[in-house]
Amino acid sequence: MNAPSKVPAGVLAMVGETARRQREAENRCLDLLAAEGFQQVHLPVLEFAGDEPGSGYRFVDRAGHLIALRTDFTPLAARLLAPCLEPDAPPLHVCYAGEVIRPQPARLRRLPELYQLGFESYGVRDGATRALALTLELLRLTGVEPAACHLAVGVSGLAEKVLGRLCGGPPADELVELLRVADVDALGDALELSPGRRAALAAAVLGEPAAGWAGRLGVAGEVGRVGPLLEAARAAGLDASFELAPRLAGDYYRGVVFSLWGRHTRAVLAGGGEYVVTGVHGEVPAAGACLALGIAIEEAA
Amino acid sequence: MLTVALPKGRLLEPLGALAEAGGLPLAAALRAAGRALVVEVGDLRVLLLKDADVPVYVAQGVAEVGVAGLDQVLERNADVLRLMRVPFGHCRLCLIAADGSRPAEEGGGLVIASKYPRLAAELAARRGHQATVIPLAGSVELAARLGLADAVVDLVETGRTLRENGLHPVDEWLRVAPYLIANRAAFHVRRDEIRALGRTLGGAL
Repeated sequence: MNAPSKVPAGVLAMVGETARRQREAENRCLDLLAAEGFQQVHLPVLEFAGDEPGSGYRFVDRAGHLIALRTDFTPLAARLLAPCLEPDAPPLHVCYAGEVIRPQPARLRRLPELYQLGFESYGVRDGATRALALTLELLRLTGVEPAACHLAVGVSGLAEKVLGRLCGGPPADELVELLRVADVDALGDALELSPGRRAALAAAVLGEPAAGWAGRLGVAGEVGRVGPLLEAARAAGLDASFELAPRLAGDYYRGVVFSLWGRHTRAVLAGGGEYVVTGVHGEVPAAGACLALGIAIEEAA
Repeated sequence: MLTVALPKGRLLEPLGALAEAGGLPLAAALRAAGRALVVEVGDLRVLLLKDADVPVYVAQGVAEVGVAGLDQVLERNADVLRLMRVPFGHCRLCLIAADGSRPAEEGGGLVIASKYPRLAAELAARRGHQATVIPLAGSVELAARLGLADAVVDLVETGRTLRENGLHPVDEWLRVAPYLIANRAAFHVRRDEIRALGRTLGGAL
Protein backbone atom coordinates (compact mmCIF):
# COMPACT_ATOMS: atom_id res chain seq x y z
CA MET A 1 0.00 0.00 0.00
CA ASN A 2 1.02 3.60 -0.37
CA ALA A 3 1.21 5.37 2.93
CA PRO A 4 -1.05 8.45 2.86
CA SER A 5 1.61 10.29 4.77
CA LYS A 6 1.56 14.00 5.40
CA VAL A 7 4.57 14.93 3.31
CA PRO A 8 5.07 17.86 0.93
CA ALA A 9 3.92 17.55 -2.66
CA GLY A 10 6.47 15.90 -4.87
CA VAL A 11 7.98 13.35 -2.53
CA LEU A 12 7.21 9.71 -2.22
CA ALA A 13 6.56 7.39 0.70
CA MET A 14 6.31 3.65 0.09
CA VAL A 15 5.81 0.87 2.58
CA GLY A 16 5.01 -2.83 2.64
CA GLU A 17 4.56 -4.80 -0.54
CA THR A 18 4.91 -1.76 -2.80
CA ALA A 19 8.33 -0.97 -1.39
CA ARG A 20 9.43 -4.61 -1.58
CA ARG A 21 8.34 -5.08 -5.18
CA GLN A 22 9.94 -1.86 -6.28
CA ARG A 23 13.25 -2.69 -4.58
CA GLU A 24 13.31 -6.16 -6.16
CA ALA A 25 12.58 -4.74 -9.61
CA GLU A 26 15.25 -2.11 -9.11
CA ASN A 27 17.81 -4.75 -8.16
CA ARG A 28 17.00 -6.87 -11.22
CA CYS A 29 17.35 -3.86 -13.51
CA LEU A 30 20.61 -2.66 -11.97
CA ASP A 31 22.04 -6.19 -12.21
CA LEU A 32 21.23 -6.26 -15.92
CA LEU A 33 22.80 -2.85 -16.48
CA ALA A 34 25.92 -3.93 -14.58
CA ALA A 35 26.15 -7.04 -16.77
CA GLU A 36 25.92 -4.75 -19.82
CA GLY A 37 28.90 -2.71 -18.59
CA PHE A 38 27.15 0.22 -16.91
CA GLN A 39 28.79 1.64 -13.81
CA GLN A 40 26.39 2.62 -11.09
CA VAL A 41 26.65 6.24 -9.98
CA HIS A 42 25.12 7.90 -6.96
CA LEU A 43 23.94 11.38 -7.80
CA PRO A 44 23.22 14.13 -5.28
CA VAL A 45 19.69 15.19 -4.53
CA LEU A 46 20.76 18.86 -4.43
CA GLU A 47 22.37 20.88 -7.20
CA PHE A 48 23.07 24.52 -7.96
CA ALA A 49 20.10 26.05 -9.70
CA GLY A 50 20.61 27.62 -13.10
CA ASP A 51 19.32 31.00 -14.19
CA GLU A 52 16.42 29.53 -16.09
CA PRO A 53 13.13 29.18 -14.21
CA GLY A 54 12.78 25.69 -12.82
CA SER A 55 9.75 23.59 -12.07
CA GLY A 56 11.16 22.12 -8.88
CA TYR A 57 11.77 23.23 -5.33
CA ARG A 58 14.42 25.94 -4.92
CA PHE A 59 15.91 27.60 -1.90
CA VAL A 60 18.92 29.66 -0.83
CA ASP A 61 21.60 27.92 1.23
CA ARG A 62 23.53 29.47 4.13
CA ALA A 63 26.17 30.82 1.74
CA GLY A 64 23.57 32.54 -0.42
CA HIS A 65 23.69 30.06 -3.32
CA LEU A 66 20.46 29.23 -5.12
CA ILE A 67 19.97 25.48 -4.70
CA ALA A 68 17.52 23.18 -6.47
CA LEU A 69 16.26 19.72 -5.58
CA ARG A 70 16.82 17.43 -8.55
CA THR A 71 13.92 16.99 -10.97
CA ASP A 72 15.78 15.00 -13.63
CA PHE A 73 18.85 12.73 -13.64
CA THR A 74 20.12 13.11 -17.21
CA PRO A 75 21.32 16.75 -17.16
CA LEU A 76 22.62 16.36 -13.63
CA ALA A 77 24.71 13.32 -14.57
CA ALA A 78 25.97 15.10 -17.68
CA ARG A 79 27.08 18.15 -15.72
CA LEU A 80 28.87 16.08 -13.10
CA LEU A 81 30.58 13.78 -15.61
CA ALA A 82 31.43 16.41 -18.25
CA PRO A 83 34.96 16.97 -16.90
CA CYS A 84 35.68 13.23 -17.45
CA LEU A 85 34.42 13.18 -21.03
CA GLU A 86 36.67 13.50 -24.09
CA PRO A 87 35.36 13.49 -27.66
CA ASP A 88 37.63 10.62 -28.78
CA ALA A 89 37.69 8.62 -25.55
CA PRO A 90 36.05 5.17 -25.29
CA PRO A 91 32.37 5.29 -24.39
CA LEU A 92 31.42 5.69 -20.75
CA HIS A 93 28.27 3.94 -19.54
CA VAL A 94 26.58 4.82 -16.24
CA CYS A 95 23.33 3.94 -14.52
CA TYR A 96 21.45 5.21 -11.49
CA ALA A 97 18.25 4.91 -9.50
CA GLY A 98 16.54 7.27 -7.12
CA GLU A 99 13.89 9.84 -6.50
CA VAL A 100 13.29 12.96 -8.49
CA ILE A 101 11.32 15.64 -6.73
CA ARG A 102 8.57 17.30 -8.70
CA PRO A 103 6.09 19.44 -6.80
CA GLN A 104 3.49 19.04 -9.53
CA PRO A 105 3.52 15.41 -10.60
CA ALA A 106 1.93 14.68 -13.97
CA ARG A 107 -0.39 12.04 -12.57
CA LEU A 108 -3.11 12.69 -10.07
CA ARG A 109 -4.71 10.09 -7.83
CA ARG A 110 -2.14 7.42 -8.55
CA LEU A 111 1.52 6.83 -7.81
CA PRO A 112 3.35 9.77 -9.41
CA GLU A 113 6.36 9.52 -11.65
CA LEU A 114 8.94 10.12 -8.96
CA TYR A 115 11.24 7.12 -8.69
CA GLN A 116 13.44 6.71 -11.72
CA LEU A 117 15.93 4.14 -12.91
CA GLY A 118 18.01 5.01 -15.90
CA PHE A 119 21.21 4.78 -17.83
CA GLU A 120 23.37 7.04 -19.97
CA SER A 121 26.03 6.21 -22.56
CA TYR A 122 28.54 8.95 -23.37
CA GLY A 123 30.64 8.84 -26.51
CA VAL A 124 28.16 6.90 -28.65
CA ARG A 125 26.62 8.21 -31.86
CA ASP A 126 23.06 7.37 -32.94
CA GLY A 127 22.55 5.65 -29.62
CA ALA A 128 18.76 5.70 -29.54
CA THR A 129 18.25 2.24 -31.05
CA ARG A 130 20.51 0.61 -28.47
CA ALA A 131 18.93 2.68 -25.70
CA LEU A 132 15.46 1.55 -26.77
CA ALA A 133 16.49 -2.11 -26.86
CA LEU A 134 17.93 -1.85 -23.38
CA THR A 135 14.86 0.00 -22.13
CA LEU A 136 12.64 -2.82 -23.38
CA GLU A 137 14.81 -5.35 -21.53
CA LEU A 138 14.48 -3.32 -18.35
CA LEU A 139 10.72 -3.07 -18.75
CA ARG A 140 10.54 -6.86 -19.08
CA LEU A 141 12.35 -7.14 -15.75
CA THR A 142 9.62 -5.04 -14.12
CA GLY A 143 6.99 -7.38 -15.55
CA VAL A 144 5.88 -5.24 -18.52
CA GLU A 145 5.72 -7.02 -21.86
CA PRO A 146 6.85 -4.58 -24.58
CA ALA A 147 4.14 -5.83 -26.90
CA ALA A 148 1.62 -4.34 -24.48
CA CYS A 149 3.13 -0.85 -24.83
CA HIS A 150 2.89 1.82 -27.44
CA LEU A 151 6.16 3.26 -28.70
CA ALA A 152 6.20 6.88 -29.85
CA VAL A 153 9.32 7.96 -31.71
CA GLY A 154 10.28 11.47 -32.73
CA VAL A 155 13.14 13.78 -33.51
CA SER A 156 13.86 16.69 -31.20
CA GLY A 157 13.40 20.07 -32.84
CA LEU A 158 11.48 18.64 -35.78
CA ALA A 159 8.30 20.55 -34.94
CA GLU A 160 10.23 23.82 -35.13
CA LYS A 161 11.85 22.76 -38.40
CA VAL A 162 8.54 21.84 -40.03
CA LEU A 163 6.96 25.11 -38.95
CA GLY A 164 10.03 27.03 -40.10
CA ARG A 165 9.60 25.57 -43.57
CA LEU A 166 5.89 26.32 -43.60
CA CYS A 167 6.20 29.92 -42.46
CA GLY A 168 9.57 30.76 -44.01
CA GLY A 169 11.41 31.69 -40.85
CA PRO A 170 11.79 30.86 -37.17
CA PRO A 171 8.32 29.99 -35.87
CA ALA A 172 6.72 31.87 -32.99
CA ASP A 173 6.33 29.97 -29.74
CA GLU A 174 2.55 30.10 -30.15
CA LEU A 175 2.79 28.18 -33.42
CA VAL A 176 5.02 25.52 -31.86
CA GLU A 177 2.51 25.12 -29.06
CA LEU A 178 -0.31 24.71 -31.59
CA LEU A 179 1.63 21.86 -33.16
CA ARG A 180 2.29 20.25 -29.77
CA VAL A 181 -1.46 20.16 -29.11
CA ALA A 182 -2.14 18.88 -32.65
CA ASP A 183 -4.29 21.89 -33.57
CA VAL A 184 -3.90 21.61 -37.35
CA ASP A 185 -7.07 23.65 -37.91
CA ALA A 186 -5.63 26.68 -36.11
CA LEU A 187 -2.20 26.22 -37.70
CA GLY A 188 -3.75 25.99 -41.15
CA ASP A 189 -5.56 29.27 -40.57
CA ALA A 190 -2.59 31.03 -39.00
CA LEU A 191 -0.19 30.00 -41.78
CA GLU A 192 -2.78 30.10 -44.57
CA LEU A 193 -1.71 26.62 -45.65
CA SER A 194 -2.74 25.15 -48.97
CA PRO A 195 -5.08 22.13 -48.75
CA GLY A 196 -2.19 19.84 -49.68
CA ARG A 197 0.12 21.13 -46.97
CA ARG A 198 -2.67 21.13 -44.44
CA ALA A 199 -3.40 17.50 -45.25
CA ALA A 200 0.29 16.61 -44.99
CA LEU A 201 0.55 18.33 -41.62
CA ALA A 202 -2.57 16.53 -40.39
CA ALA A 203 -1.15 13.19 -41.51
CA ALA A 204 2.07 13.91 -39.64
CA VAL A 205 0.26 14.93 -36.46
CA LEU A 206 -1.97 11.86 -36.61
CA GLY A 207 1.06 9.56 -36.83
CA GLU A 208 0.46 8.25 -40.33
CA PRO A 209 3.35 6.64 -42.24
CA ALA A 210 6.02 9.23 -43.04
CA ALA A 211 6.09 8.39 -46.73
CA GLY A 212 2.83 10.27 -47.12
CA TRP A 213 3.92 13.57 -45.58
CA ALA A 214 7.63 13.90 -44.77
CA GLY A 215 8.67 14.86 -48.30
CA ARG A 216 5.84 17.32 -48.69
CA LEU A 217 6.84 19.02 -45.44
CA GLY A 218 10.50 19.04 -46.43
CA VAL A 219 11.77 16.86 -43.58
CA ALA A 220 12.22 13.47 -45.23
CA GLY A 221 15.89 13.36 -44.21
CA GLU A 222 15.24 14.02 -40.53
CA VAL A 223 12.29 11.64 -40.37
CA GLY A 224 14.31 8.98 -42.19
CA ARG A 225 16.64 8.81 -39.18
CA VAL A 226 13.98 7.03 -37.14
CA GLY A 227 13.12 4.51 -39.83
CA PRO A 228 15.45 1.75 -38.65
CA LEU A 229 14.34 2.18 -35.07
CA LEU A 230 10.66 2.01 -35.99
CA GLU A 231 11.23 -1.03 -38.16
CA ALA A 232 13.14 -2.82 -35.41
CA ALA A 233 10.44 -1.98 -32.90
CA ARG A 234 7.64 -3.24 -35.11
CA ALA A 235 9.61 -6.38 -35.87
CA ALA A 236 9.79 -6.95 -32.13
CA GLY A 237 6.01 -6.81 -31.91
CA LEU A 238 5.69 -3.24 -30.65
CA ASP A 239 2.85 -0.99 -31.69
CA ALA A 240 4.82 2.07 -32.82
CA SER A 241 4.15 5.46 -34.35
CA PHE A 242 6.01 8.59 -35.26
CA GLU A 243 5.36 11.62 -33.08
CA LEU A 244 5.95 14.94 -34.82
CA ALA A 245 5.96 17.15 -31.75
CA PRO A 246 6.60 15.13 -28.60
CA ARG A 247 6.43 16.79 -25.20
CA LEU A 248 9.96 15.99 -24.08
CA ALA A 249 10.93 15.43 -20.50
CA GLY A 250 13.91 17.72 -21.04
CA ASP A 251 14.99 20.37 -23.54
CA TYR A 252 18.47 18.84 -23.81
CA TYR A 253 17.60 16.17 -26.37
CA ARG A 254 19.29 16.52 -29.78
CA GLY A 255 18.27 13.75 -32.12
CA VAL A 256 16.00 10.72 -31.96
CA VAL A 257 13.76 10.53 -28.91
CA PHE A 258 11.28 7.89 -27.80
CA SER A 259 8.68 7.22 -25.15
CA LEU A 260 6.89 4.03 -24.15
CA TRP A 261 3.29 4.38 -23.02
CA GLY A 262 1.42 1.87 -20.89
CA ARG A 263 -2.03 0.78 -22.03
CA HIS A 264 -3.25 0.17 -18.48
CA THR A 265 -1.75 3.15 -16.68
CA ARG A 266 -1.95 5.45 -19.74
CA ALA A 267 1.28 7.02 -18.61
CA VAL A 268 4.84 7.18 -19.84
CA LEU A 269 6.61 4.09 -18.55
CA ALA A 270 9.98 5.04 -19.97
CA GLY A 271 11.55 7.54 -22.28
CA GLY A 272 14.89 8.56 -23.64
CA GLY A 273 16.89 9.62 -26.63
CA GLU A 274 20.03 11.21 -27.98
CA TYR A 275 21.70 14.36 -26.73
CA VAL A 276 25.08 16.07 -26.64
CA VAL A 277 27.28 16.80 -23.62
CA THR A 278 29.82 19.61 -23.72
CA GLY A 279 33.00 18.03 -22.37
CA VAL A 280 36.32 19.72 -21.58
CA HIS A 281 37.66 19.37 -25.12
CA GLY A 282 34.48 19.43 -27.16
CA GLU A 283 31.07 17.97 -27.64
CA VAL A 284 30.42 14.32 -26.82
CA PRO A 285 27.39 12.52 -28.30
CA ALA A 286 25.31 10.63 -25.77
CA ALA A 287 22.13 8.65 -25.39
CA GLY A 288 20.15 7.39 -22.45
CA ALA A 289 16.78 6.44 -21.12
CA CYS A 290 14.92 6.30 -17.89
CA LEU A 291 12.12 4.17 -16.45
CA ALA A 292 9.41 5.51 -14.18
CA LEU A 293 9.84 2.45 -12.02
CA GLY A 294 6.71 2.73 -9.91
CA ILE A 295 4.49 3.27 -12.92
CA ALA A 296 6.07 0.37 -14.78
CA ILE A 297 5.34 -1.92 -11.83
CA GLU A 298 1.77 -0.61 -11.69
CA GLU A 299 1.43 -1.32 -15.41
CA ALA A 300 2.67 -4.87 -14.92
CA ALA A 301 0.20 -5.45 -12.10
CA MET B 1 -15.16 0.88 -24.76
CA LEU B 2 -14.11 4.46 -25.43
CA THR B 3 -15.16 7.03 -22.83
CA VAL B 4 -16.30 10.35 -24.29
CA ALA B 5 -16.93 13.49 -22.23
CA LEU B 6 -19.60 15.76 -23.68
CA PRO B 7 -20.83 19.15 -22.49
CA LYS B 8 -24.42 19.29 -21.21
CA GLY B 9 -24.86 22.85 -22.47
CA ARG B 10 -26.01 24.25 -25.77
CA LEU B 11 -23.53 22.16 -27.79
CA LEU B 12 -25.11 18.85 -26.86
CA GLU B 13 -28.09 18.96 -29.19
CA PRO B 14 -26.15 19.81 -32.36
CA LEU B 15 -23.51 17.27 -31.35
CA GLY B 16 -26.19 14.61 -31.15
CA ALA B 17 -27.43 15.57 -34.60
CA LEU B 18 -23.89 15.57 -36.00
CA ALA B 19 -23.25 12.10 -34.59
CA GLU B 20 -26.57 10.83 -35.96
CA ALA B 21 -25.58 12.08 -39.41
CA GLY B 22 -22.38 10.07 -39.05
CA GLY B 23 -24.28 6.92 -38.15
CA LEU B 24 -23.97 7.06 -34.35
CA PRO B 25 -27.38 7.10 -32.63
CA LEU B 26 -26.28 9.58 -29.96
CA ALA B 27 -29.31 11.89 -30.05
CA ALA B 28 -31.70 8.99 -29.61
CA ALA B 29 -29.65 7.56 -26.75
CA LEU B 30 -29.58 10.93 -24.99
CA ARG B 31 -33.32 11.31 -25.31
CA ALA B 32 -33.85 7.83 -23.88
CA ALA B 33 -31.40 8.43 -21.06
CA GLY B 34 -33.46 11.16 -19.37
CA ARG B 35 -31.39 12.66 -16.55
CA ALA B 36 -28.70 10.00 -16.52
CA LEU B 37 -25.15 11.38 -16.59
CA VAL B 38 -23.56 8.27 -18.08
CA VAL B 39 -25.01 6.86 -21.30
CA GLU B 40 -23.81 3.93 -23.39
CA VAL B 41 -24.07 4.29 -27.15
CA GLY B 42 -22.65 1.43 -29.16
CA ASP B 43 -19.00 1.09 -28.15
CA LEU B 44 -18.98 4.48 -26.45
CA ARG B 45 -19.54 5.41 -22.83
CA VAL B 46 -20.71 9.03 -22.85
CA LEU B 47 -20.22 11.22 -19.77
CA LEU B 48 -22.44 14.30 -19.63
CA LEU B 49 -20.58 17.06 -17.82
CA LYS B 50 -20.60 20.77 -17.17
CA ASP B 51 -18.88 22.44 -20.12
CA ALA B 52 -15.97 23.62 -18.00
CA ASP B 53 -15.32 20.13 -16.62
CA VAL B 54 -14.88 18.36 -19.95
CA PRO B 55 -11.21 19.34 -20.42
CA VAL B 56 -10.43 18.23 -16.87
CA TYR B 57 -11.89 14.75 -17.34
CA VAL B 58 -10.03 14.34 -20.61
CA ALA B 59 -6.71 15.72 -19.39
CA GLN B 60 -6.77 13.39 -16.38
CA GLY B 61 -7.63 10.38 -18.54
CA VAL B 62 -11.02 9.58 -17.02
CA ALA B 63 -12.37 10.15 -20.52
CA GLU B 64 -10.24 9.38 -23.55
CA VAL B 65 -11.86 12.06 -25.67
CA GLY B 66 -14.36 14.90 -25.35
CA VAL B 67 -15.83 17.93 -26.98
CA ALA B 68 -14.99 21.26 -25.37
CA GLY B 69 -14.77 24.88 -26.37
CA LEU B 70 -11.33 26.34 -26.84
CA ASP B 71 -12.23 28.85 -24.12
CA GLN B 72 -12.70 26.07 -21.57
CA VAL B 73 -9.58 24.18 -22.67
CA LEU B 74 -7.41 27.27 -22.28
CA GLU B 75 -9.07 28.45 -19.08
CA ARG B 76 -8.46 25.04 -17.49
CA ASN B 77 -4.92 24.98 -18.92
CA ALA B 78 -5.67 21.39 -19.91
CA ASP B 79 -2.88 19.44 -21.58
CA VAL B 80 -5.00 17.77 -24.26
CA LEU B 81 -4.73 17.28 -28.00
CA ARG B 82 -7.05 19.43 -30.11
CA LEU B 83 -7.75 17.02 -32.94
CA MET B 84 -10.39 18.88 -34.91
CA ARG B 85 -12.82 21.76 -34.78
CA VAL B 86 -16.49 20.91 -34.59
CA PRO B 87 -18.42 22.73 -37.33
CA PHE B 88 -20.76 24.81 -35.14
CA GLY B 89 -20.74 26.92 -31.99
CA HIS B 90 -18.02 29.24 -33.26
CA CYS B 91 -17.82 32.60 -31.50
CA ARG B 92 -15.35 35.23 -30.23
CA LEU B 93 -13.89 36.00 -26.83
CA CYS B 94 -13.98 39.77 -26.64
CA LEU B 95 -13.07 42.65 -24.41
CA ILE B 96 -16.43 44.32 -23.81
CA ALA B 97 -17.26 47.73 -22.38
CA ALA B 98 -20.30 49.87 -21.68
CA ASP B 99 -21.41 52.04 -24.58
CA GLY B 100 -19.50 55.31 -24.59
CA SER B 101 -16.49 53.78 -22.84
CA ARG B 102 -13.17 52.82 -24.49
CA PRO B 103 -11.29 51.42 -21.49
CA ALA B 104 -8.43 49.82 -23.39
CA GLU B 105 -7.41 53.18 -24.83
CA GLU B 106 -7.46 55.14 -21.60
CA GLY B 107 -4.11 53.90 -20.30
CA GLY B 108 -3.28 52.86 -16.75
CA GLY B 109 -4.57 49.73 -15.10
CA LEU B 110 -7.53 47.85 -16.46
CA VAL B 111 -10.03 46.12 -14.19
CA ILE B 112 -11.64 43.21 -16.01
CA ALA B 113 -14.46 40.96 -14.84
CA SER B 114 -14.69 37.54 -16.44
CA LYS B 115 -15.83 33.96 -16.17
CA TYR B 116 -12.38 33.20 -17.60
CA PRO B 117 -10.00 34.73 -15.05
CA ARG B 118 -6.91 32.81 -16.15
CA LEU B 119 -7.44 33.30 -19.85
CA ALA B 120 -8.45 36.95 -19.47
CA ALA B 121 -5.31 37.71 -17.48
CA GLU B 122 -3.10 35.94 -20.03
CA LEU B 123 -4.66 37.60 -23.06
CA ALA B 124 -4.60 41.02 -21.38
CA ALA B 125 -0.90 40.62 -20.59
CA ARG B 126 -0.19 39.61 -24.20
CA ARG B 127 -1.76 42.88 -25.30
CA GLY B 128 0.25 44.92 -22.84
CA HIS B 129 -2.57 45.70 -20.44
CA GLN B 130 -1.81 45.85 -16.75
CA ALA B 131 -4.99 44.08 -15.76
CA THR B 132 -6.65 43.13 -12.52
CA VAL B 133 -9.15 40.35 -13.13
CA ILE B 134 -12.27 39.88 -11.02
CA PRO B 135 -13.56 36.29 -11.38
CA LEU B 136 -17.32 36.06 -11.78
CA ALA B 137 -19.59 33.05 -12.22
CA GLY B 138 -22.13 34.57 -14.61
CA SER B 139 -24.02 37.63 -15.88
CA VAL B 140 -20.70 39.37 -16.41
CA GLU B 141 -22.38 42.03 -18.56
CA LEU B 142 -23.61 43.67 -15.37
CA ALA B 143 -20.06 44.17 -14.16
CA ALA B 144 -19.33 46.70 -16.88
CA ARG B 145 -22.75 48.32 -16.71
CA LEU B 146 -22.67 48.84 -12.95
CA GLY B 147 -19.02 49.80 -12.62
CA LEU B 148 -17.65 46.68 -10.93
CA ALA B 149 -15.06 46.59 -13.71
CA ASP B 150 -13.82 48.80 -16.54
CA ALA B 151 -14.60 46.01 -18.97
CA VAL B 152 -15.54 42.36 -19.15
CA VAL B 153 -14.08 39.51 -21.15
CA ASP B 154 -16.72 37.13 -22.43
CA LEU B 155 -17.94 35.18 -25.43
CA VAL B 156 -19.77 37.04 -28.17
CA GLU B 157 -21.76 35.11 -30.72
CA THR B 158 -24.15 37.54 -32.42
CA GLY B 159 -23.67 40.59 -30.17
CA ARG B 160 -27.39 40.83 -29.47
CA THR B 161 -27.07 40.37 -25.69
CA LEU B 162 -24.45 43.10 -25.61
CA ARG B 163 -26.59 45.54 -27.53
CA GLU B 164 -29.60 44.87 -25.31
CA ASN B 165 -27.47 45.62 -22.26
CA GLY B 166 -25.83 48.81 -23.51
CA LEU B 167 -22.47 47.18 -24.17
CA HIS B 168 -20.19 46.81 -27.16
CA PRO B 169 -17.13 44.70 -28.04
CA VAL B 170 -13.98 46.80 -27.85
CA ASP B 171 -11.56 44.20 -29.16
CA GLU B 172 -11.61 40.56 -30.27
CA TRP B 173 -9.11 38.61 -28.19
CA LEU B 174 -9.66 35.02 -29.30
CA ARG B 175 -11.61 33.06 -31.89
CA VAL B 176 -13.36 30.24 -30.08
CA ALA B 177 -14.62 26.97 -31.49
CA PRO B 178 -15.55 23.64 -29.95
CA TYR B 179 -12.91 20.97 -30.50
CA LEU B 180 -12.76 17.21 -30.38
CA ILE B 181 -10.07 16.90 -27.72
CA ALA B 182 -8.13 13.80 -26.71
CA ASN B 183 -6.09 12.67 -23.78
CA ARG B 184 -2.46 12.58 -24.88
CA ALA B 185 -1.82 9.06 -23.62
CA ALA B 186 -5.13 7.74 -24.89
CA PHE B 187 -4.31 9.04 -28.34
CA HIS B 188 -1.17 6.90 -28.30
CA VAL B 189 -2.80 3.69 -27.16
CA ARG B 190 -6.30 4.01 -28.70
CA ARG B 191 -5.57 6.05 -31.79
CA ASP B 192 -7.71 4.08 -34.25
CA GLU B 193 -10.87 4.27 -32.14
CA ILE B 194 -10.41 7.98 -31.53
CA ARG B 195 -9.85 8.69 -35.20
CA ALA B 196 -12.96 6.68 -36.07
CA LEU B 197 -15.00 8.82 -33.69
CA GLY B 198 -13.58 11.95 -35.32
CA ARG B 199 -14.68 10.71 -38.72
CA THR B 200 -18.15 10.00 -37.34
CA LEU B 201 -18.29 13.64 -36.29
CA GLY B 202 -17.47 14.73 -39.80
CA GLY B 203 -13.73 15.25 -39.47
CA ALA B 204 -10.97 14.09 -41.77
CA LEU B 205 -9.08 12.24 -39.05
